[in-house]
Amino acid sequence: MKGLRKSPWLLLAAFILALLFRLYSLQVDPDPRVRSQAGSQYWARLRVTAPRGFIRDKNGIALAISTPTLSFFIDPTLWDPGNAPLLQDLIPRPRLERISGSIGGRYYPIARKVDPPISDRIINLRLPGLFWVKETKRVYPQGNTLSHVLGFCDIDDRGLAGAELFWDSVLYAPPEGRIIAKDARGDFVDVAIPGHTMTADNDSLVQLTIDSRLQHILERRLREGFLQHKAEWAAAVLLEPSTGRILGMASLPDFNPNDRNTFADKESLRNNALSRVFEPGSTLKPIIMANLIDNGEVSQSTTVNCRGKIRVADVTIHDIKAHGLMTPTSIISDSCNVGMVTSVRNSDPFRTYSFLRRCGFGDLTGVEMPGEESGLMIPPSQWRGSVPATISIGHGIGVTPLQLAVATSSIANGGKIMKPFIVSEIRSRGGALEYQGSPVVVSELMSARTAQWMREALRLAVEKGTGRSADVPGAKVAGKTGTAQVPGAGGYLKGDYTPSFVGFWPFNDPKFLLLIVIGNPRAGDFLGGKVAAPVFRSIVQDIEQIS
Amino acid sequence: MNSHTLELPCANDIRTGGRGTTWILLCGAIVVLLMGLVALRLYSLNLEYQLADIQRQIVLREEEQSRLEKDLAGLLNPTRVYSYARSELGMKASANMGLVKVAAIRKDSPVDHEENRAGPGVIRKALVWLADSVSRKASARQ
Repeated sequence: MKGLRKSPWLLLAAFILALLFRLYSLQVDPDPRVRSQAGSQYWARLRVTAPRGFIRDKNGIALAISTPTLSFFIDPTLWDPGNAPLLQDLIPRPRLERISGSIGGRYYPIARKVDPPISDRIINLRLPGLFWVKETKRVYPQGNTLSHVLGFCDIDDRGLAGAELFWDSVLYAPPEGRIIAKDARGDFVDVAIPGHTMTADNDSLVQLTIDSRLQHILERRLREGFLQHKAEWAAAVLLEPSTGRILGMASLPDFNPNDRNTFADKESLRNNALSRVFEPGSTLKPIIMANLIDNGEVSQSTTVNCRGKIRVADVTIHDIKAHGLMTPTSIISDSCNVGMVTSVRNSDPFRTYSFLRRCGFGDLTGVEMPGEESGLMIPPSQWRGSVPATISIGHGIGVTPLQLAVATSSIANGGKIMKPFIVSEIRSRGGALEYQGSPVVVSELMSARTAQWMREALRLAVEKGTGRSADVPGAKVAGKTGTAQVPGAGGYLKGDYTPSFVGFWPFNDPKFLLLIVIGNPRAGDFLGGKVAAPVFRSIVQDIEQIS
Repeated sequence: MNSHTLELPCANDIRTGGRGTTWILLCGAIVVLLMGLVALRLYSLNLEYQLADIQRQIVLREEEQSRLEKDLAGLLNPTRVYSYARSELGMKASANMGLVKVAAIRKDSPVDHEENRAGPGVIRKALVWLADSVSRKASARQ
């Protein structure tokens, strides 16, 4: 032991141990002052937007996508206000004025989500105290196309309308932390906070049932009709009647989700296909007549004499002309008001009301979109006087274009009300399947035989009746025109009409159902056969060329 | 009885010397161990740096991919294709276009199918050979 105490190696061992302890304390548990000094080299800790997921059409074409962009800010302690004029025309004017004077603090944002080449011009100025951080920006590569269905986001990438809002929980990714630090060359770089990955991609997906090509046709032709007739609004819905799959949905006026200046007009933000409640007029007649035939209240050989007008309670319902002796088929093909009113004269209001509810009127269809209206249905206890008669010709009831399209689909598909769906599938981040749109039968509305009979009657309406201008040789279109007056305070508004056309093709095995509604045309024509049917025909022609 | 323990000269020195060697070896081992740890730390730092670099490149590639996807979606935009076809290429839809629906073709039996395929196939090969011989582009075609 004596020798060991004298040994110089003991001192060396003690020295090494002390060294190890010091190393440990410096590396693992440093002094708070050291921590503070080390931390001071970091400039800032920021929260920046992470990319949202994709919205694609049925063919996989991107409809909404997040792309990298830059946000600029200054450190007022390093910023020289004299440099502010160099940023003129590159950043918003109020921000420019603000940074032209003295500002407190160490962080002041001057421009968010700036795209090239503006961002490149700002970077190339290399101004002291000016920094930038990467963010993502929501972009809609197809501009106005499908704008009401897609919707838009706010500056922080939270969904505000359309599918962006409805599926925000899937598409939205929380902001990521960023530390702005100096690298070895003294340049500022942004890095992810340790433990968090720097992501530029978010693979969550909302895949729609919409086909971009059909959607383009729908929007282009609807816009032509909208402009030609100087209408206030217009809507179109294209469905696959056998499944309820929505293939196209258009609404005018529209907006460009990439340009916030186009959001100023509130009417342009409204999706008329879902949110506009209108009186359908004669386009409701086939559904009412199908019910009468299905119930046995009217047979296919029943005849009604149309003298051009009929008095019901306190109102007189007119026709364009006295049609004479009419059968149910000719009532539909010639859109005879008197014939319809006479046919429903003995109907039970409660039964008719129940039927209309089974059609989906007065209820949300349940399509995966926000802002849907349920329409207006007067309870049967209030169906007094002329109400049952006016409802039979499509007045006194408020429906949305989507509801009317779904109800008419039941004639095309053999009598079933299908739940409409616009989303094909939803995948969360990582690729897990969250939701899949599939055909759902809501109710059996009429027998297949009645539906078959009504399809033939509607074919006749296009071949020889009021819908002749919707006919496309070879396509075998069946459909019905509608011209409804517009209700206002104290009665129907003079000169305001809602012409519409709903049809499907080929009539014996329908693959498509299309509804066109043009609101308040101001160019002279107002009849469904003159305003909406030609738009319908042009769309069918275009679709037939590519399908 | 007195007894004397026989002590070898320098016996203590020998023991001290043995402990010293042990200590030297121990210290040497510790130093080697520490150096190994330092080397490992440096190696891991290098790996971390490489990893960060790769991750940065991944992010850049993903950003590039996002931009390309945006450009692709813009190019596939039917509105753009339509307006380009009309304004740049002067294409128009024919005014007197009609639809001709062709009935479904009867499914041939496999034997008929083979026979049908063999005939045109030989002619096609001959035409290709002829075209290649004339244009001398056979090698380019392959």
